Amino acid sequence: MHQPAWRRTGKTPDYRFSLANERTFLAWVRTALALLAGAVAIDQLAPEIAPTAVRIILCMVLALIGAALAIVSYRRWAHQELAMRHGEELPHSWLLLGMTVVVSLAALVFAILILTRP
Amino acid sequence: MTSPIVVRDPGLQPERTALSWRRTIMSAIAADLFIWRGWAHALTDANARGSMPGILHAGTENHVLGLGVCAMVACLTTIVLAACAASRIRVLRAGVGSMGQPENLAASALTLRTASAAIVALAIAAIGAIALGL
Repeated sequence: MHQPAWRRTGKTPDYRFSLANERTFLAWVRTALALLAGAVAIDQLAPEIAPTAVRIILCMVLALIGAALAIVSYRRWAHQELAMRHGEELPHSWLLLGMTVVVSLAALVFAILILTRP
Repeated sequence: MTSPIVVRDPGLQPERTALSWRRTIMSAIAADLFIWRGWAHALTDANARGSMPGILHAGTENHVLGLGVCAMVACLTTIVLAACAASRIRVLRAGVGSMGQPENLAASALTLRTASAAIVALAIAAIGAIALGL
C-alpha cells in the first residue's frame, strides 16, 4: 500500500509501541467527536442557556476545536511514529496543556451560563 | 500431543486496538444522532407550519434542505469512518499470528488520515446543523 515518504525511513517500531500510538490517536479522535456531539447537543437541547447569538457562537467554537483536534491528532500520531522510527525522543506536544485549558474554560463558561440563567 | 504454539501478545494489544476503533465508531454515531435529530425537528416544524398557510416563514424550506444535507454528510462520514475501522480490524486480526513482523500490524498512514479527514467533514456538518438550527 502507498505510504508517505517518511514512513519508508528508519525502522518499523515494535508493534506494541505503534499500536499504543494508534490507540492514543483514536482517543484524541473520540475527544474530537465528543466535542462535536456536545456542541450540537447544547445547541439543540439547551436553547435557553444563553442569548441565541452567544449560544451559536459558543457551540460553533466547540465544533471548530473538534475539527482542529482531529487534524492535530493525526499530526501528533505521525510525529510520534517518525520519532519511534528513528529511535529519537518522543516530541513534546502542547496538546495536553491546550486541551486542559479548552475543557476547563468550557466548563467554566457553561457553569457561569447555567448559574446566571434567569 | 504437541500443537503448534501461536505466540500471542500477553497484553492483547491488537484486540485492544480493535476495540478502540469500535468505540470510535460509536462516538461518531452519537454525534450523528444529534445532527439527524436537528433535521427531524426542522421537518416536523415545517410540516406543522405548512398546515397553517400564511405562518410559513420565508426560508424554512431552505433550512430543512440545508439540515438534510448536513445529515447526509454526517451519515457519509460515519460510513467512511466505519470502512477505515473495518479495514484496520481486518489487518489486526490477520496480524495476530505474526507478531514477529511489526509491518503486518502497523496502521497505514492513509487509513488514519482518512479517518481524521472524515471527522473534519463531520465537524463541518455539525457547524452547518448549528448555523441552520431553527
